[in-house]
Amino acid sequence: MNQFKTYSSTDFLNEESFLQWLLKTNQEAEVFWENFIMENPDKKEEIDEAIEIFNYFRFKNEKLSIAEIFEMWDSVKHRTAAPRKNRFISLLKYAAIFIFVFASGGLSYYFYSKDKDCNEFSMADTTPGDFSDARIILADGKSVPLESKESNIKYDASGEQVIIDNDTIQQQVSGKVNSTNHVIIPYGKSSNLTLSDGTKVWLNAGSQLMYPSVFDKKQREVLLIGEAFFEVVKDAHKPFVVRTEPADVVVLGTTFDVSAYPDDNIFHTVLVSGKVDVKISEHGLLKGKKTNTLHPNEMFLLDRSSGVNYVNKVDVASYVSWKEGMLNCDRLDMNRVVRRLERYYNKRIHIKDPMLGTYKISGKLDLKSDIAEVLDVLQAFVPIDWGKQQNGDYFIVQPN
Amino acid sequence: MYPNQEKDKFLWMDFLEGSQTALSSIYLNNVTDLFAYGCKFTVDRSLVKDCIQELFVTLIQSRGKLSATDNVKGYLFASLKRMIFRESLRSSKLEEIMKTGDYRFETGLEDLNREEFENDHYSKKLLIVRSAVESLTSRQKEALYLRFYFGLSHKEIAEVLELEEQSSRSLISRAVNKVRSIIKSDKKRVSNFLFVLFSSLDREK
Repeated sequence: MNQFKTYSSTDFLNEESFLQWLLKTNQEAEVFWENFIMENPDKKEEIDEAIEIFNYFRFKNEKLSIAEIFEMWDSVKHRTAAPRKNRFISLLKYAAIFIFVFASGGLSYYFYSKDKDCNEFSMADTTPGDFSDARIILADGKSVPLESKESNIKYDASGEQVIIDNDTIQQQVSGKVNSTNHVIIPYGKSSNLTLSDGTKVWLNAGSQLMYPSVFDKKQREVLLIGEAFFEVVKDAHKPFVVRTEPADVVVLGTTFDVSAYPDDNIFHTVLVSGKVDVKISEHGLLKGKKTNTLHPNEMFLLDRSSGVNYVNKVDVASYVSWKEGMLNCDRLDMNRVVRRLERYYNKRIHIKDPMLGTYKISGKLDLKSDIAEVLDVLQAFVPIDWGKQQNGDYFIVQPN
Repeated sequence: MYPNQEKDKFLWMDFLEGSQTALSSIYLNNVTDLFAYGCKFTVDRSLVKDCIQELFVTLIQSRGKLSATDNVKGYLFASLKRMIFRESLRSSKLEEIMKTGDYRFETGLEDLNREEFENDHYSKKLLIVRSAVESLTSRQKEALYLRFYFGLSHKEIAEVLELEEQSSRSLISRAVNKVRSIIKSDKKRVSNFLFVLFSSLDREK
């Protein structure tokens, strides 16, 4: 610590950990410098000056809207998928005779390979054991860590005042609408948001939500990666749109659940009340959007690798119970149950025998108890054994 | 260390090893910052958007030729900057401009809000500091932005600016010292003013 005795404010600002403390990006640095100030009152003046200098630099930045972020990535995906298409077309030219014979087969191959291309670089994923901490990045660029297991975030109608777990934060809302807020919730945590229009969002573990401080005049648009439950305040003039990588969910005012985890092949949305439209974005030759309308107690399900999708009646409670810390399963594959547990507890669970993953599970699991208890309950329902590996991962095997 | 640095480093490894989703995570973690940074060089919003897309297309197409890095954000920043210059300038001048720092860099400091204007002494000082910042060279402004906004280390800034680490450090020190001397002289002026005021009050007694 002696080296800092002769430091000027400029020297402090050149020190990496000092900057990390000012930017609040490293907890260790925070502890260190807060102690340092207490123990070295003689350096207070230089440190105050360093902070003053730092505070003069408040940068204003141009922002992308949520739609732009998505469109740009879409175009990257399409441009990188293009060469294969050309190769196939040039191949077609040389094999004109065969086309006649294999027309249908060839075309379906084309669609298939096209589909694969589009999936190759799909929107962000997060895996268990993720490094990122729960945090919210406000429209003005401020990054605030979310420390509690179940954080609460609330915007007032102007979008200028944000309450995060009882702390009130003011943010300047510039005239432009495209000022995006970004909430990142890793596995093992969840969050409860109230947006500026009063809409409530429960964000499940391993999910991200981007939204503007104040909504646009025409529509209310948010971007979701992962799973969230929405209670949308009715506004007939401004539809509420949840954009996800495979589909857009358009509503006026309803309660519904959307699950779009990038590492989960299944996209689903479940409607509790009201009415929603689900628009799948289809790439390649079938460009354009296909719309499905959902009624209460219905689920729209899309298998992302095959593109197969359908609507069916479900027990809604089993899909939305996660927000009360329960996992209700209604003939759910063990694979999917285990994926949900992994996300919720931020632990890896390996199913050693693929056959076990296809067991259908019905029942209630209380996620407020710890993971060992939940696995015990599971064991009582289905013929499995479970254990813990040395690296902290869990495994499920067939009983001997 | 900036937010997400560790995460991006591992995602970058995954991407190089052929992961299907790693690059989209990197995109999402960095696109807002890339856009903010790119817009400091040009007012052409759509040019910056095009260059960001071009950058990611290039990454996917040249995956086999890329190597591991600890500084993903810095690498992306440096590549985007080159792309913007390449699009907006004649290519022959590119290397020269990168070296001399002869380009536009708009710091874009936040507007003063009402409260600060009411605190007259502070806002006056702020204006002086601002004009001093605006008079810095583009490279100094860029370095300060990378450091005080994104939290990049001297080493990482050096990579973006294509400089030696020591040069980036002195670039920032010089800029900070300039601001510091303004604050210092201002303090002196205020205390002199108070001294005069008090001594005149004394005399009146």
